[in-house]
Amino acid sequence: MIRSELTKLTATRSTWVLAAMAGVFCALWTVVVVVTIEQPSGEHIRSAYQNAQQAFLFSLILGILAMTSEYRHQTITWSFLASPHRQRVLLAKFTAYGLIAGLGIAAVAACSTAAAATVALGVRGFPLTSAGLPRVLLGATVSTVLYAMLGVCLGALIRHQAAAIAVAFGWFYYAEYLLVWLLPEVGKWVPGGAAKSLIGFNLNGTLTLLPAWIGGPVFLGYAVLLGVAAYAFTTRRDIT
Amino acid sequence: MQAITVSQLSKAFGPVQAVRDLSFGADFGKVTGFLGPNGAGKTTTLRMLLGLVRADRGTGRLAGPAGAVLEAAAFHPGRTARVHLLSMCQAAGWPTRRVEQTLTQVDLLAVAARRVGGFSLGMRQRLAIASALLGDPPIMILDEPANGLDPAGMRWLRELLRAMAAEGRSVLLSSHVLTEIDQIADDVVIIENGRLVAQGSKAELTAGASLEEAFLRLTGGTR
Repeated sequence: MIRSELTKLTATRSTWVLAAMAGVFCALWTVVVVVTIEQPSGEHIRSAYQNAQQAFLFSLILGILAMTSEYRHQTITWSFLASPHRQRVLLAKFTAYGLIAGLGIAAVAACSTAAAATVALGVRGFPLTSAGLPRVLLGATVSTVLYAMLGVCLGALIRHQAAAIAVAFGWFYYAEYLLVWLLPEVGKWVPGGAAKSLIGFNLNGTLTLLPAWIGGPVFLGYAVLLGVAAYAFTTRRDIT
Repeated sequence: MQAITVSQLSKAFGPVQAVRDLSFGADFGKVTGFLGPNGAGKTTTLRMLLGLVRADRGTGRLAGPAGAVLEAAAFHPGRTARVHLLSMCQAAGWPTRRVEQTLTQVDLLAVAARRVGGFSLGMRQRLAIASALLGDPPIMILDEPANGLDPAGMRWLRELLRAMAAEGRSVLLSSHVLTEIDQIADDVVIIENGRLVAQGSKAELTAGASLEEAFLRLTGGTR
């Protein structure tokens, strides 16, 4: 079942395009951040590496494609004919698109961010590492995977590809950013705020974030909640 | 035991009652034609049988695994025919050698590595038939399978389905093309407005007349 999803995943061009875009995007942001660093404090050095989390957008979209492309191209019919246990199809999507592809994109992001940071920091003559880097990269990896899983859930619930991507983009890229910056008491509890706590993103102490040990489970909680909704919806829906 | 047993099946989509208290059966070793005017509830019935649509009431039972060719079968345009079949085999746990076997059977081996987006309607229909054959199923359910096939393709499909019935499999075939059913079916089930109108062997139902005459008489389509 999971192999079937991996076959589809690797045979589809958009997978590779998204992974490549994640790499390029992270590297560009890293360079931009390094260019704007004024004093090479540990926190600033870390902030360069925190760009590895920018890959979340691409793992989220890939997760959304997992289900929406099935509905869009009506291949969901074949999937449910081959495997009438719909929960297994959904579970295989979580594993293939969420865990495996999410990890893949996280790895691409971590490598390209680290490479870009090394070059850019080196050019500016700043130290290449600082304390707490492993945690930054681990947090970025975990949140990239969780975003992919959120994407799978969103796609299962919204089904319409363009609508699901628009909703995800509007919420995760704009609404959450505003909440995190303007209404931090609310913002720290939304998925994006929780994800930022995972990488310890708190430049100059301007943000109010949950500690990572709460932020992680909060984020996971959103994924589980949406996953239950996606399960209920997917197993009951008529495929006409 | 019957291959397909539909009993008191009902389904409404909002205010539209698509299928009402429908009961019929289909035997192994026979081709059963499933007829009805457009909108009679044929597709909904077949999708309920296959577990794609939930019935409001009643049951549709299959005495074994079924392969299905559904109307307007769609594929991911960016994937090749081979990838489509392979992913289905892996999902269902069928042996992957069935991919090459069915590609050969439907005469798509030469284009198996091409993206489905470039396929003609007839090639897509053949790929849909290959998908249905993958699991070597004892029951075949086909919804308007002749759509998009050229005359040679239709003849090929007819011979394939006859051969499957001769092997003891059950074939349930929906169509509104009566001549198509007339040439192939042993038994006929006719529905209209979601209700059963008639069921029996083709010889019984037609009683010497053509299937078209019998169909129009039974569904009130005569003028």
